[in-house]
Amino acid sequence: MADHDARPGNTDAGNKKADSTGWADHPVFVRGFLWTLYISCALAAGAGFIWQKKKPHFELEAFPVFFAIYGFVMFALIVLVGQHLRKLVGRSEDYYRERE
Amino acid sequence: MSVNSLLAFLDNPGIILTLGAFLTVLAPVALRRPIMLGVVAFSAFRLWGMEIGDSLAFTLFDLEIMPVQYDVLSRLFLVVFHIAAGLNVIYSWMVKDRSECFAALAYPAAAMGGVLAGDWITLFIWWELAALTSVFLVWAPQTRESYLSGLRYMSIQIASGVILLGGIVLVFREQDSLAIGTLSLRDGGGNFNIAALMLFIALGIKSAFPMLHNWVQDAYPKATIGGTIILSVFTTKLAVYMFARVFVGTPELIWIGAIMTIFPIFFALIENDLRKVLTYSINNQVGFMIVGIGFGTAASVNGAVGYAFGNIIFESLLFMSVGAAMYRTGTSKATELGGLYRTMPITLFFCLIGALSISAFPGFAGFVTKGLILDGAAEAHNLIIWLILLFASAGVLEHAGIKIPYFTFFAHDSGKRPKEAPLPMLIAMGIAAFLSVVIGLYPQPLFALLPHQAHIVDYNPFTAYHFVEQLQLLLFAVLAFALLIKFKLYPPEVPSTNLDVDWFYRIPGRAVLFAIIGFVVAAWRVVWGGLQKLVGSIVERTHRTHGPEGALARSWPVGFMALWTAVVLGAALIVLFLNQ
Amino acid sequence: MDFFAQLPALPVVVPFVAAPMALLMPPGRIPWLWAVLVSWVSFGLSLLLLEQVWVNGPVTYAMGGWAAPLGIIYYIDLANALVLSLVTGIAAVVFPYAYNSVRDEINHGQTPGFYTALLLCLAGLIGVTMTGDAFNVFVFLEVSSLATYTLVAMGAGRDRRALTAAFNYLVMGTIGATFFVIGIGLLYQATGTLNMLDLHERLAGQDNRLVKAAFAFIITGLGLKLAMLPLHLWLPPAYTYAPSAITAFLAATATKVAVYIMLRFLFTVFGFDFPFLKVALDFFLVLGIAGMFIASLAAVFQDDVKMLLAYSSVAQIGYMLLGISLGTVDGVAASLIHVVNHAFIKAALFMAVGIVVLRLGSHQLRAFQGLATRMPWTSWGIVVAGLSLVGVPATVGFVSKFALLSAVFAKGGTMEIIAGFLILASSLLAVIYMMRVIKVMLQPVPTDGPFAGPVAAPPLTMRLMLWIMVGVNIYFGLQAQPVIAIAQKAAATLLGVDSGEAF
Repeated sequence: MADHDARPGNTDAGNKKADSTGWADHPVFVRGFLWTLYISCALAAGAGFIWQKKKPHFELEAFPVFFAIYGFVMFALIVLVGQHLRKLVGRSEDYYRERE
Repeated sequence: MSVNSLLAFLDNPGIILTLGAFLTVLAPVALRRPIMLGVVAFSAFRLWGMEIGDSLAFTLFDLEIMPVQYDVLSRLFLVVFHIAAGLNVIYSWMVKDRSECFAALAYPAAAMGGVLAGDWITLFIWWELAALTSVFLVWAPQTRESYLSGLRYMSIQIASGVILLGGIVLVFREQDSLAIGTLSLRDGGGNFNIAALMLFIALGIKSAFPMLHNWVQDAYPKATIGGTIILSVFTTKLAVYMFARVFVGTPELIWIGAIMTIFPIFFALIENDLRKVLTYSINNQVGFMIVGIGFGTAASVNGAVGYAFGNIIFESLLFMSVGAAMYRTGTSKATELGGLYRTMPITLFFCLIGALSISAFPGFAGFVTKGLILDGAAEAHNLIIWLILLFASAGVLEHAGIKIPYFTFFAHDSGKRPKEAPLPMLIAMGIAAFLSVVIGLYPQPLFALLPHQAHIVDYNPFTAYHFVEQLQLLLFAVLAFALLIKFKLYPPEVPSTNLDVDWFYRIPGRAVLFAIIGFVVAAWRVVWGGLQKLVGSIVERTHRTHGPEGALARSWPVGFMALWTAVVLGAALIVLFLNQ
Repeated sequence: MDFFAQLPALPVVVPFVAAPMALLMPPGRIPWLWAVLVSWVSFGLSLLLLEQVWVNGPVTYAMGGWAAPLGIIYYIDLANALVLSLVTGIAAVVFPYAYNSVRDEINHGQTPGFYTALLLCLAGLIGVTMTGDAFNVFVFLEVSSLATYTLVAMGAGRDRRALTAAFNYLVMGTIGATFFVIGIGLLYQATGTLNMLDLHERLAGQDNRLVKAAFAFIITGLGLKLAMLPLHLWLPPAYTYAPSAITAFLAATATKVAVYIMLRFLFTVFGFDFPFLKVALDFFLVLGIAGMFIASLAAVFQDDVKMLLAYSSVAQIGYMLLGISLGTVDGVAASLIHVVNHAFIKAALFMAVGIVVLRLGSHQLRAFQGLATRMPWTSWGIVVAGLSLVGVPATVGFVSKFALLSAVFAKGGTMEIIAGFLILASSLLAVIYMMRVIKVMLQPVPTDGPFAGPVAAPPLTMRLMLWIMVGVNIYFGLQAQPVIAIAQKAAATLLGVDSGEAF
């Protein structure tokens, strides 16, 4: 389907490198994206001190940056812990094909 | 049945779409898709004409049968099912395969018929039809893998139907009525009510409860590109709808739902096939809805079914964007994709909208209703459930919000430079993306469809606090992702098969089954062979002295059958004489 | 002579007299027309009789004017009338269907003989159903069986294995009949009567070895005739290699009549005051469940569609036995309902297979590939009847299953509840074997191999009769009330719950 498009990328490293500088791989974009993220995070954390829930159900909710910490920690936890599941259940791609 | 009442019977989405499916099959190939679109539009038009409270009932051998019962809850599901069916028709515009076209209407028809059902028998019919029509989508690629998977899928679906029927008969005996109403899982003494429990399990299989979930991952990714998208919508959401009808406020659902939101996160993390990642995402998303139904308050039920509405649209959108990449590259594996943003920017754009919606970023569809489910946990002061749901929200962001767009369009450059998705796919994705944004910014039309209007009129999702908490959660999770990538802690994708519950029936279960068959065959041969030799030698001896040549071989089986008769007679006599 | 006074005798007499006449006719169309005419007349008479019994209650008729207990009497209550209407009704649809299939499968010169045997078989089955005399049951059973062996053997023109199948069937059928007649003889010795009514009265209170042995012989003999597991081995080959029309007719009638006669002996002749009826019922429960599973499993692995359906029939007998084993009105009624409904289902399915055999010359599963494109009417007939077999609502199969489940759950014992779940589980197997057939039919038409090439449209009569039978499946699926009502009342009469009945 996309053969004529894909061919330059497949041939040799030089071509691929020249080709791979799409806008998203451009260092300016990457840096810009990261800084936007950092600033947004800082703003969101700061905003937590300004807008508080009127009647929190849990004490945790009253803590201004609870959601920020919880989000960050849990995400990291999922990725760092979750990947070890692979050792338990990961098999070769043809696992079932060989057995059925 | 007069002509008028026949027309009334035919005039509902379930029947219209079913008839339309047959029409599609008969139509010339070039007209198939236009006719399908026309049928969905016509059905939607007839739905528009229906009034809340419309129903159709007749008596069939003393039983009150109610093929149509239209209320606010069914309206919401019918509307979104029509949207999904229409989007799928457009998305797969190039596919003219007869059985796929048929299933693309007949299967949604079955789901909608089930939504409209006012009695259990009608539901059972559509329930089984949904199973039987959808299996053709799994079989559509015509490979051995999809064939085996389809068989497993069908067995599980039919098993659910069979359990449903058992529950129906029991409920009918208890209540002497077939009308679908709320049931409680336990009786006054806290013991399980068997009838309700059977229905609960039947619905549980269809909504993919933990441990009963794996048919989703097994079958859905093996269907065709369009088939997977259609499958992803209906079966599980029909089950959610039935839970909302029958088991609303059942506390067991809270915990089951909470577990459903967690465990798929880990499987999705390590899964390489992005379509399979999205099937895990279905489980996770349905988990949120199940929790909401389990709390059973006006707010949480509104949240659950409202979330189902949005979810059908943005989950489809994600499936569509991965499907578009697959259509152009021939694969949906993360290890073989990546870097597609260069040549498929429009698909990327739509995919990002889907990702933002499913992650519940403010301004997108997931945001406006997810809060209601979390509030349900908060109002019940159930801290653990609340924390689990927050945790699961971070998990959604991981596998659906980030993994899907990141590994498809960014990540390492696969070197593939496919063309932009074809126009029909772009149109379907565009509409879905548009709806996701509209619902996110202007949710009032969706709110107007929700079942508990008294509650929703004063609900405003756009409060500063709600914004802040959601943004904190999501932005810091994205930050964690960025840092993990930056410090190369994010695990790379590897091609693999990850074992799940299906392993139990695909490997040891299969082995046990074959072992039993082998054992029975072997035992049979021993017993049978022994008898054969015994009778054979007697017959042969007699034959040698008395009989003519030749007839021996033929008389053998007769000999054994006669022997069996003697055995049965002997057994009967012994039993009778001993029974004193 | 008053027509209505003689009505009970006519359904037996008409085919009996008509049968030898067919032998005198020239081969070809005429004997067929004659058989069709007779079947329709019998059906009409049966319906009249059914109506009379429904309105006026059981009818007694003394053959030749000899009163009971000396003479042979015909005693017709709702149970017989129902089975009688079923048998003649199936005949009225299958006989017209038979013409093209028979022309293709049977020697032209043999057709008068074929239709004679067919009419004799019908007459025998009707006689078994109607008579109130135990020895007479044996006589009629043998008449129909002998005719059946001949008919099965006539399948040899297409497949030589029909001879072996017929021979097996002959031996087994004869053993069954012998056991049965031994049992009757013992009963006669014990009571000195052969009239069922008298038997019941004189057996009351008797509990000796003679009666027990009689009971065991009768149950085993009838068990063989109705293909109760493990006495079923004759059935699959006989059904598979018999001519198509014969399979359709037999599958819908022969075992059903055997089930009826089993009910008659269990409940009318022996009855509940008989101390070991309970033992027999437990026996049936176990064998019924075993039949449901073993035969269904066997069906799943068949590559021959007729064989597959034959095993499915054995499995369905299991459902009927299960219903009987409950020993309740609901249970027996469910069993009777299934007798009727399963006859509709299997007649339709075997008729459809017969059409395929006519056009493609085989009933192997492979021959069905692409059938949906080649013969859409026949294929959809198979699909609808198959759904009915599985028990999809709006078909008779669902009515049966619902009735049976209700009866099972109503009884409410642990064993029964388990049996209920097993019924549900075994329907899964039915889904699997029917889906195997349907999947093959939906595949594209084969381009090479023995079944490639164009196929002429099947004859209109065959398709029409098939669809009448399929229509019956749907009609009585939607209008289940008549059959249920008759079966309920018949069961109540059989079990003597309905007081004031003669038996």
